[in-house]
Amino acid sequence: MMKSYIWLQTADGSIQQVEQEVAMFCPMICHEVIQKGMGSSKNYAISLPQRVNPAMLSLILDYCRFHQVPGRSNKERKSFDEKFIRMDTKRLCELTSAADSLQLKPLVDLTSRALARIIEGKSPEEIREIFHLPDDLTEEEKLEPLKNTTDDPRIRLLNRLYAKKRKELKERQKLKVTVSCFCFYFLTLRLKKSVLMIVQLMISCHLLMETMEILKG
Amino acid sequence: MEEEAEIDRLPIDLLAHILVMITSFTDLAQASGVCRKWKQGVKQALARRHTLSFAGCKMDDESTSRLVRHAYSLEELDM
Repeated sequence: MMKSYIWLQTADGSIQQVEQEVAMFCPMICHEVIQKGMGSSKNYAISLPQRVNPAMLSLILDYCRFHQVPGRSNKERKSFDEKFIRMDTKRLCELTSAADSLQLKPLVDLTSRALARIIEGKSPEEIREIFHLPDDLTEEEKLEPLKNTTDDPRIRLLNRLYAKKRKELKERQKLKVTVSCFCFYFLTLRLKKSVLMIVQLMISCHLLMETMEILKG
Repeated sequence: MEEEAEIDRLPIDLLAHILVMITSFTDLAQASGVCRKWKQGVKQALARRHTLSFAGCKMDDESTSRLVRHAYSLEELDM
């Protein structure tokens, strides 16, 4: 029985041939074959997107090779997926990216769900550590309300919590200023009398204003 | 250091796709406090929920290409 093969080329230049039914499981490859007539020989190998390196291609083809077989039960497929997805976080991200560039939606969804499970239940600090992300938001930005276009009561509750935390943050900042003013005030006790009097007057006014504001709430 | 931040290489609509799968809003809130890019991602993920629940009458500029790709995939299923 003659088997048909499709020729694929990864960004590093290496070319390989893959069984037609396996390769055609990827919409992007399917499109190249049907619409552009590519992949029939080594010279006309389909150039795969840069995000698909040989390691990722190998994984993707394993996935396709299993799932393209029509007779399999849902239980079999699910079991395969659960084992398939067991890899480190970095590879999961790479695989999501590669699958996306080949438009292989079922695999994108599978890896995305796996990544979502990793993200769930973790604090921002933990997430940053796992994925090596920068801490580039200010304290205020971290407490900004979420957009609630559907007026979801859960988001409303969250935003109320954020508003409360923003208020607390402001109080803390004001307290910092008040405390530093007090410290400065006592330091000025060493200055010349005239200068001392002026400075003390200024600080008194400032402290008075701050205290009034805090009392106002 | 650059090599390790693999998830940071993902285009933002793909990040949003992952975040849409998070069901708990508290988890989404945590995710939005991770970094600037993720804050954007969460915004998009929330907007996407809105788009899908109203059967696509609201068109999000950022996810247009993704919606087109979805349509392409649907054609594949019909075959």
